[in-house]
Order: sequence, then structure tokens, then C-alpha cells
Amino acid sequence: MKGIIKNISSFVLVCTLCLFSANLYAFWDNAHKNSAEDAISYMETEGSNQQRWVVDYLKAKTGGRDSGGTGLNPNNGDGTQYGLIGIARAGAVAPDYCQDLFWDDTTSWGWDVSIPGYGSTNFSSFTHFMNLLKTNDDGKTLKTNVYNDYDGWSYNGSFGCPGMGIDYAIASYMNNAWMTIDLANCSDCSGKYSFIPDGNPAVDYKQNGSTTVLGSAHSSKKVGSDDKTNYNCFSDCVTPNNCPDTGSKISGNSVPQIPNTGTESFWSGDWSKSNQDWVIFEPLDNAATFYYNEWFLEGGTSRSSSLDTGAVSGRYYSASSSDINYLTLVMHYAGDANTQHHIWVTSGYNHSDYEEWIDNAYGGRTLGGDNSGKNLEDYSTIKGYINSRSNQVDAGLDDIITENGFLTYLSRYRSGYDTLSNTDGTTRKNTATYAVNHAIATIVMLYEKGVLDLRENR
Amino acid sequence: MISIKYIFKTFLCVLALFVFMVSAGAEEPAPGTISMTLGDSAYTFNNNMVSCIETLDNGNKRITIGLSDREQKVELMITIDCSAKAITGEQHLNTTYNNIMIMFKSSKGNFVVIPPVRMAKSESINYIEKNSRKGKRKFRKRKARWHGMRRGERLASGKGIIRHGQMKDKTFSMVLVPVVENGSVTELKGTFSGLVRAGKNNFQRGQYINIKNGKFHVEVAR
Repeated sequence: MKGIIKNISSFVLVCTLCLFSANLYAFWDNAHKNSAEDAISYMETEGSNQQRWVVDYLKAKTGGRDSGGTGLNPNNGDGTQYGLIGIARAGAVAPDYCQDLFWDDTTSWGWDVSIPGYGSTNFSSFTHFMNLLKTNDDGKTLKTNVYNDYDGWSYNGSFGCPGMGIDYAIASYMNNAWMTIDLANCSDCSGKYSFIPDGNPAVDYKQNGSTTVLGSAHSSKKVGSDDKTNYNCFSDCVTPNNCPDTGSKISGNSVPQIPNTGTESFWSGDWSKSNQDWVIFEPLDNAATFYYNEWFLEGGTSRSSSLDTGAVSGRYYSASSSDINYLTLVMHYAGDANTQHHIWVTSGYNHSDYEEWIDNAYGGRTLGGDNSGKNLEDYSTIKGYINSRSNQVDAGLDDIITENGFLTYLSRYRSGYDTLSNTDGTTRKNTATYAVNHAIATIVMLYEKGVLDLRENR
Repeated sequence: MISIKYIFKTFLCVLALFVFMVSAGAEEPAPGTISMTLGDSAYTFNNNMVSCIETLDNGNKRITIGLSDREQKVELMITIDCSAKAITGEQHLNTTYNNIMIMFKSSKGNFVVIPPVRMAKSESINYIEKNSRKGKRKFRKRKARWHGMRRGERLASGKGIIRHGQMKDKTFSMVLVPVVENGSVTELKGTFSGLVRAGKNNFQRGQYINIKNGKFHVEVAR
């Protein structure tokens, strides 16, 4: 009898652990969803006349406030969501559930790095960072504008680079993995989920100043394995593989930063040189601009890394319910631009614990409630934040998001707001309150901007 | 009559002889060898590994031992960060108190073990604090309040620490013995063990597996 009870208890424990681990890596789903919903609620109740009109336009286009229209399936198990509120919440999380960055590792390949007991990271999420750092954790100068005005996540440019943390673990694990650079034609990439019909995702949208991915696509996985493409070497960790080196170094500085364009290989005997570069992901403002310009405003009619107003002409009237989905996807990046870890570009430094905390706090709020521990949103504060921004709705989308990124970067220097180095509840609440209200402010501005940009070219 | 003192001395000699025999039985691996038992699987790798020592920005040393075995379909990497002063001496290390990592990838399963808790660097950041005095608001820079806190205080307060919650039930330990010639480390020898979670499927937490009898003897690349 005791043995049976013990077995049942063990079985229940295992099931509970499995469930727990599945929920643990939902990023900050509920917080993303709630911020998008709060933005619409703000516009309806506290917004300017123009913001209220914007919401009415969006409701008309999406078939209604809580139902109607063609809906959006965020690929997270929630199913298709309908109406403006439904697609706003769905779009706010959907970019985390794309499967559009496919890596061919030496022992496995797929859409995420999944290490039992450690967790799982969807590679698509690596385009949700923006590197505003000037120095690393040791105070050494970083070279971070390799391909963009501000690059995205890169192991060698990450805040966690010098330490024995999650960034180092992921980089070591992936090491010489190659990424698929022609997803549309990858015949060995089953399970692809992209919101872009038959096309590459935001990868290389503006990276390298081009919309064309550098390098040639090889094999059935269409991987970029050539030298000088920035997707063929995840890290410079030292293992006897294709990219084992420390890389070139900035003159007068010992930090390896420049993509290595040397010609020697590891097996020539000098392990400090290599002919491989290391991966630098596209930054989140580029990814947001990609969905906004090319798909929301232009309907996929061009891929020119800039806004073609001719393509926008008339869409104010012709945009369908499904076209509004692309606008909602942009709001995910507005949320991520308010997470310190996404701007200080680290997967570690209390990253997942902080996001879990937010999901339990603000993510568990009741709309319009007054729970001081969960209702972190404050509409008066949001109005103030909107008014305080240098870039308003007439600015470029990437400028609005970049400005938000800078506010997030600087917030870490406020006493009691450093979530990278502290795990106490007070620090997390301070930071989350600031982040949530700025995220809602940015989302309000972007919804308003989206409709105004359509109207301007009607 | 045999005295108690004589019996005791004899016992000590026998004990010493036993210890010597046991120790002699634990053979030191040949150069270019890494071996271990992972769960029920025994692994031995010969002459397909690399070891190197880098100098980090802060003057510390990073020791890396890595191998890629295409036949056994295994990749293994052990990384140790230590001070420049400590590198020439024997070190007893573990993920609880030291910056060490093991990464293992194979067709049977994968795992990574990193320190579950690290201390944040107080010198890397100064905070801006607002003070209001006599109706005037002033801002000043100051060091983190956890600057100078002991480890226990930081753990209790949540200040100045970096946690990896997923690592709290895993551990990795090793004994690192360098071979030094003319002041430089030329070889690395030692042992290692641990408790990890390993598995293959997405979102699976894996099963607990022991790392036992880990031994290594590698040359350091120059």
C-alpha cells in the first residue's frame, strides 16, 4: 500500500513539474497581452479625440471590439482571437511564437535551443533585443554597431559575455551552428511558422544596409556557412569546431569584438584565429519596422527596407481585418523595448525570473481593477509619458521604439530599479511599474501612428 | 604477550597499505584522455580534445577543455574561470562557489550546468539617487547599497545577486591539477563529478543523472 501511494505521489509530482516547466517559459505573455489591451482601453477612456477616433477606425476594420473580423492565431495554443481586443492581445505575443529562425547545430537542428533542466529558448526571440551598451560587465569598450545603428543580440556584444552565465552557456551549446538564410526554400525546416507568407522573416531586413542576406544558402536546410555572413557562428567559445577562436580585437583593447575575417582555421594550429564570423541578430526596432512598413503599410508589395508611400496609397480604405494583424505584431516589440534585459542584451542576469515575476504581477491584473500588487498601470502616468516623448506620432517608428529603448537602458541606473543585479520584490515592482506604463504609452502612440500613416496616404 | 600498542601500530600499517593499494588502483589517465560515466553509459575519449588558457579582461584566466567526437557523437566542454594566481596550483572547484561550467551534447541527451548563483559586480555600476532637502531636489551618484555585503546577506536580501533558478538542483565539481613547467601550465589533470538533468525532448525537464569517475589529462595548447 505504501509503495502504491509512493508511486502515485511520484507520478503526480512528475506531472506537476512537467506542467510547471511548460508554463515557466511563456516569456511574459500575459503582461504583453495586458499592455496591448490597456493601451486600447486608455485610448477609449482617457485618450485625445484623435486617439478615440483611431480606436473606432480599428474596431471598424477588425469587425468589432471583442469579436468579428478574420482574427489572428498567435501560435501559442490560444487559438484564433477575434475583434480588436482579441487580435491586439494575440499580436502582442505572436512574435515570440514564430518559428522562423532555424539553426543547424552539430547534434540537432530546429527552432529553439532546448536543454533539459535549463529550459527552452525560441530562436525567434533573439531578434527581440537592441544593444545600447557601450561597455561590458568588466567595463571594457564594446563595438556594437557592426551592422546597424544599434545591433541586436550578439554573444560577444552581450552584457553577460565575461561571466559564466546563461549567455555563455547558450553560446557554448550552439557554438558553430549555422542558420537557415533562405527559409522560404528550406525543404528540411519542418514546422515553420511565420506571419510572412512564403518569405524570410525580419532577419536581414535592414541588416548590413540591405534586404539581401549575406552569403549563399547551402544544403536542404539552406544554411549560411560562408565566411563573412553573420549567421554562421554563434559564438567564439573555444571548442575544436569551426569557430573556436577569440576573434579579432579592437586596437588597444583586449575585448574581441570585430567579426573575424581572418583566413586561418582552427586546425592550422593557431586556435586564436579563425575564418568565421559570429552571429549578430537583427535589432528589435528593425524587426518592428519590417512588419510595420513592409506588411502593415505596404501589404507586402515591396521589400525595400524603407517606406514606399506609393504602396501605401489607398490602404486606408482597402486595408482588411487581416492587414491590421501586422500592426498588432509591432506592439510586441514595444513591450520588449521596456525590458531591461532586452536592452542590456542578456538572456541571463535574472532575465526569466524577472519576466515570470511580471507575468504573475501585472500579467494577473484585472482590467480596471485596483490591486496595488497587480494593477501597475496608471492612465495619468501614461498620459504624462506620452507627452514627455521627444518622438511623437509623426516620427519614424524605429525612432519611437529606439527612444523607448534608451529610457529602459537608463532606468537601470536609477536607485532601486536594477533588475539585472537584484532579485528583491521592491526592485522588481519599481522597474515593472515603470516598464508597463512606458510600454502602454508606446503602444498607444504606435496605434495612433499606424492609422494616421494610412490616412496620410489615403 | 602482544601489547595493545603493538596491535594499534600494526593496524595503522595495514590501513596505510590498504589506502596505498586503493590509490594505486585509481590509475592516472594517459595524456590526451578524458573519461567518465554518465548514468549507465561509460565514455572514454582519446586524443580528440583541446585545452587552452585565455587571459580575460579583468586579468583572470579562463581554462577551456573541449572535445568533439564524431564517432561517439559527443561534444563536451568544461570551462573554468580563476584568478591568475590560482592557476598554477591545485584547485577544488564546484558550481556553488566557483565559476565553472560543463556542457555536454550527444545523441543520447544533452545538459549544461552553470553556477546557480553569482555575485553581481558592485564596481560595474553607480546608481542615481534623488534626495530632497529643504525643498530642493538633488541627484547624486552612489555605489550600490549591496556593495560590501557578504554573500549570505546578499542571498537573504536578493540584492546584488544573479540567480539561475533552473540550476539549483544540479551540481558539478572538479579537482584541477596543473602541470607547470618554467612557470607555465603545460598540462591539466584532474577529476570531476556531478548531478545533472539530461534528456532530449523539448520542454522536458529531463531525468537526474550522475556524472561519476570523471578523469582527464590534457595538454594545453600554446
